[in-house]
Amino acid sequence: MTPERFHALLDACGADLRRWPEAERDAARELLANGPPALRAACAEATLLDRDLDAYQVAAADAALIEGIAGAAPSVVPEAAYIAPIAAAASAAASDSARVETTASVAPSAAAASSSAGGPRARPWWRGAGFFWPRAGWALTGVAGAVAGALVVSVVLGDAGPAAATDWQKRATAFIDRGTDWSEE
Amino acid sequence: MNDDDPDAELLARVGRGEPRAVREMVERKLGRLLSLAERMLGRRVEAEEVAQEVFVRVWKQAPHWQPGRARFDTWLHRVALNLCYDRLRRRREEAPDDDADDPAADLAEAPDALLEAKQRDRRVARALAELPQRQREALVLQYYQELSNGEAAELMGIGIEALESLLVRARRSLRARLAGEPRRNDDA
Repeated sequence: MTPERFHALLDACGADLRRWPEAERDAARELLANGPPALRAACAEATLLDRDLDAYQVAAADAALIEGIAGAAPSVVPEAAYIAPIAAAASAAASDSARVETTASVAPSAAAASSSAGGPRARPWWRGAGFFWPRAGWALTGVAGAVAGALVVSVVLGDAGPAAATDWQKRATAFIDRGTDWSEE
Repeated sequence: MNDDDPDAELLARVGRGEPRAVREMVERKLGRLLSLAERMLGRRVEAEEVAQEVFVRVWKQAPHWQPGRARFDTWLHRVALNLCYDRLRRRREEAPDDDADDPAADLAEAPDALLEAKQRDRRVARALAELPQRQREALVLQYYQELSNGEAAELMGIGIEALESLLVRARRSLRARLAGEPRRNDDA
């Protein structure tokens, strides 16, 4: 390393050699130890500016900010919610509920904003009194019948079972993806 | 290509939605983001907003991250810088004569014991805020964020020689701006 290159890097990177290009640090140390005394004087001068720069400290994040940012991350849908085939196939209402909760966890600030701006958050349509449960009962009965029928067919046809299960898993994964975008491996 | 990205494993866990990984990522990167944004913008509140916006993008991108294409920390800095640029541009458009905040404005509220330290802090903050934007960016990335010259140059879309030139001008300018102000003698 030439003294000129040493001065150029000193002017650009300061006196701390850890901020210098890695490939040039050893040569700089060698020159500093055995080169002209003027280099050490220049280093001392550069150190003063480094210390001024170091005086400008940024405060650490407070706990509320950390909590707020971490809390805004989408939550993971529990694996059990899409592993059990009958539960997932039969409970459209339950999955609607899970979607609502996931959406709230993805954008808590948006939920809070809508809450503060428009009063109480709008209730889902299916939570209307006397509307949801009778229809859900009929739906569950119908779906349970369909599942039982599919089971009979799969037993009769032998190898149709695994294919049906695989197909369901694909559908379930796609559904979860659409809601949260967090289930991909 | 970069196969030794120190954040890759954690990012993959974030992508799988592990709550513990999410918190670990915030604790690992939030300080660096605040450090970058506050020194670029000169305003704490805006720096915190930028940090939050960056993390929203992290949460969205984590499941789709492809290791080896770029270092995550470099990408993080790129996103944060773009958000800072947006705010600085908006600031210029909205109040062209009010670009430079006075970072010493809150000193009156500081307790006496902290006053001297805050004064040193603020005079450097003010001098940094008065630098041309590209010089400030070069110095913040290379000095405060401790990126290598190559990483800083890549982030800024310039060559290493151009980066070194910006750094030289930034440091000279800072030295001149700070020269007229009282300096501590305890390290002489």
